[in-house]
Formats: sequence, structure tokens, C-alpha cells
Amino acid sequence: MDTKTNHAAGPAAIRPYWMPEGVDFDGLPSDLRAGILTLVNPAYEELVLRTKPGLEQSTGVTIVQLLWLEVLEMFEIGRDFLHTDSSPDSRQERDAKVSRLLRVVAAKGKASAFWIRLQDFRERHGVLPGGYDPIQREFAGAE
Amino acid sequence: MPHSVDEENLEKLESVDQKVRDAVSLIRQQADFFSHQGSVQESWRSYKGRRLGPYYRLVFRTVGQQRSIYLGSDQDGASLVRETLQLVQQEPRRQKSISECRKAVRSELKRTRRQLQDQLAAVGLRIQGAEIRGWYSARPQTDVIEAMG
Repeated sequence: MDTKTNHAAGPAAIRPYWMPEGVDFDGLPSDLRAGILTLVNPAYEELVLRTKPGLEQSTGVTIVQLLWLEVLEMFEIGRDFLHTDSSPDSRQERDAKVSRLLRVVAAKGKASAFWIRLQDFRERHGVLPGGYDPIQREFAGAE
Repeated sequence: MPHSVDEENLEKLESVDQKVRDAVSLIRQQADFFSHQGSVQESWRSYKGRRLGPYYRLVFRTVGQQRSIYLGSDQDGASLVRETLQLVQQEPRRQKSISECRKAVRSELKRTRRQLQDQLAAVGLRIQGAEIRGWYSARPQTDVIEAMG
């Protein structure tokens, strides 16, 4: 677990332990760091830490990573609206970023829908897919 | 008329201040150039066995050559130049850190997706387009027996 603190810019923030080593968390703007901690951390706790390893947890990790990407894209877009001019080039660049954000949001929506379907599956059958593995494979092979 | 020691020092300080002002002005005017390079470095000299300094210089490279602007020994002046440099260098660094962060997330996401695909395949589910298929055959064994009557 990494608990580096920031001394580079803005107020100190504890580096999330789920963040890959290659990411310079301390080098990120302080408001972006705050966004990651406020939005992504709770999602990680709920969707990853409180689930068992396997399908459910991998889906949780996917949602968290997409949420993280969404925060990054939103931060960039928000900043662009404040700091860039209204020239056609800047506008085109902003539009491309908005499209990228929408793709990330759509992917997150699908991953979340799958997560809900998994929960629904467990409610109906008492187990997640895979809880029956060896025998079910025999049945699947016989069909 | 000869200068007194204080007058000489004052003159030198003004001269150094001018150098600091020039350096700050140069950095602001050439912000694009200094956004990617340039640093304030300190050095020491020895005189009659005494170590003197630190003396500050704004160091940068241009046309393949190392160049420097002497800033004097005033720490406040050196700090001012350093802060000005930091300001113009902050934006590219910010962009770089965000870009690296995005790259890392996307890379992790690809890895997770591969893992998820393997786990889906192991339980008889599959990704078809943007949907997950195969729910019917993924029912637990007891449900399958009940369905078979």
C-alpha cells in the first residue's frame, strides 16, 4: 500500500493504494486529485473491496477504471471551457474531447448494467454465474 | 569622486537586480522556449581558501549550446526567477501528468477487460458487440435440472 503525500502542488492528499505505480499522482493538479479521491475512492471501496475475487470484482474494477477515466476527461473539458479561445481549432478539439467523454460514459453505463445483472442473477439463483461450474459444463456440453 | 563601500555595494546590487529583472522578462517573453527547459542553478567559488556563494545562474540550452545568465548571490532574486520558470513550466508538466495518467488507466482497463473476458468464458458468458450473452446457459445446475422437468 502506497501512502505517499503530495508536496508538489496544492494541499496534501494521500495517494490511493489502487493507483498504478506509473501514475504521478502528486504531479496531478490538486482539484483533479480531490476529484479522484472524492468520486473514485468510494466506488473502489464499494465495487471492488466489498466483493469476492472473480467476475463480480473484475466488473467492479472495470467500472472504477472507467469512472476514473471519466473524471480525467471531465476535468480536461472543464478546464478547456475556462482557458481556451473560441477559434475553430479549439472548438474542434473540445468537441473531440466531449465525444471521448461520451464514449467513456456509455462504456461505464454498460459495465454498470452488467454489474446490476450479476446482482439480479445472484438474487434469482443464489449464486453468481460460475457457482456451479463443473456440472453445468457437462450440461452445456450435452446441449 | 571615489565611491564609498556602501555606494559600491548598492550599485552592484542594482546591477544584479537588473539581471534578475532581465531574466524574468526573458522567461516571460520566451515562455514557449522556457516551458520545456531552463533551471536556476547555484555554484560556489573559493577565494583565498574561503568558500563563497552560493551564486545563482539561469541555465538553458539554445542551438545545442549551454547558455547561462548570471543572477548574482541574492537568494530572493534567484527565487523570483525560479518561480517565474515554474509558472511557465507548470502547464506542460500538468498536461504530461494528466496524459500519463490517462495512458495508465487505459492500459489497466485493457488488462481488466482481458481478465473479464477470460472469466466470462469460464462461466459460459461471452461479450457479443457491447452486450454480454449466454445468460440462459449460465443458470445454476439445479435450475437446469428443474427446467428439464
